[in-house]
Amino acid sequence: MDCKHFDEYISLYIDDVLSERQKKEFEGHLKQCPQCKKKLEETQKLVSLIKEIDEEPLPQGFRDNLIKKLEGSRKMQTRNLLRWIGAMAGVIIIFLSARALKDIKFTDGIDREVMPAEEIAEDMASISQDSDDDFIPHNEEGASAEVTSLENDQEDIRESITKIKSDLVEIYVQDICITPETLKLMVINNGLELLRSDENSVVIEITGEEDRNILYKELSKMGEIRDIGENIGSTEVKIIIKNKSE
Amino acid sequence: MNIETQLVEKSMDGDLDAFEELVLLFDKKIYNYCLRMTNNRSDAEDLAQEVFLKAYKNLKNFRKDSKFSTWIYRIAYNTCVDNYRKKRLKLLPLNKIIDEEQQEISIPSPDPLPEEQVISNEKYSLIKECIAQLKPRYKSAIILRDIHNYSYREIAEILDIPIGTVKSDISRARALLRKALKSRLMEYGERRVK
Repeated sequence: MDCKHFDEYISLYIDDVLSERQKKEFEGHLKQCPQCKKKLEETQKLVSLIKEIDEEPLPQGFRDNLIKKLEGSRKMQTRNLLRWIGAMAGVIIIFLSARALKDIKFTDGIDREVMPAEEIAEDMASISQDSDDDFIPHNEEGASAEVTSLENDQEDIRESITKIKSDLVEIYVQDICITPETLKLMVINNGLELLRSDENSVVIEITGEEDRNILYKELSKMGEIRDIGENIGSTEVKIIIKNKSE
Repeated sequence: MNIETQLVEKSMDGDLDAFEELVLLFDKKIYNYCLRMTNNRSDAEDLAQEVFLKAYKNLKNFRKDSKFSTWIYRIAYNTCVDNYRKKRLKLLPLNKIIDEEQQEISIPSPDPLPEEQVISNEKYSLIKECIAQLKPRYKSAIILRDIHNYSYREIAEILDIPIGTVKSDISRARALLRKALKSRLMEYGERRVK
């Protein structure tokens, strides 16, 4: 071993992490080279001095300060969480209200059956004439009354409005541009699988709840959904396009 | 399950009291680590507090298969490195911090450490100063090895570097310290003689 290698080994020798062979070589050189021997002694002295550095006590009030900061940080986290929950609740309420308003406009508010066009027209007319306060809230009180009534059976509504449940869906559209081609495009865009189609319907393969959610979301943009099939949890869903005035 | 693991589990479930107990287990060690990294009590206090706040906020990222002590030292190291970078940006033009390239300190003479000339307390403050002047990874390796008694393997985990790098960092840091301390002690001896 030469002096250069010796330098590299000094530290490892002190920490006793050299292999037996390296240790022997190291000790061999140590006997022959007084300069390297001195270096080893100095390094040993240095290491023992560093090890003797005393641990210092914590500064006054360190723990109290830290605990205050931690509690502050937790409050902040809770506050942020509450804010987030509040914001989400707001979004849900707005969404539900919008849905409810939409339903009210086109149905009688209790029965979700789609009505013939004349009846809708009549209904709309009567709403705008005398039942404004009952159905279309203009003020905040009205809005909150609407929300409260919705919240009562929120579970129900959430369950029924977020996904397609059965294997047969009718979609009532006002827009004559919505055709099976539109549905096919939607199927492709959402990574769903198209099985069959004809002049007014498509059949889509369903592989999970996620697909049912997507389908609901997309269809609800196009028109009013009626989930009328009897087979729940089937792997296929047939969607029939119906015109609202039909 | 040991007490550390139990406290970590409770803390991760949102129990602040449990986290405060964890703090009590490690705060003195982390404060002293930061103190040796900076050689400045006020900086060390701020940094150590920052370490525990960061740990608390990032508890969800703690992987249960590693030790909490390793994790908290890692946070401490990263916090000190960030602090070092910020300070270096401010100080570099005025005050040359010993860096890798310029860490070779010349040895005026091969004399042994003239320790008899130096009063013990002053000798320790010289060593502390020299340690704090090393670059962060070197001083961290030395502090963890010689003051906090960690093994090479544990240091590798904390600093997230290979064990071979830990070995060479410690060797190199000790060689630099030996030379630096020797020259500082000699300067000191000469001043006292005058």
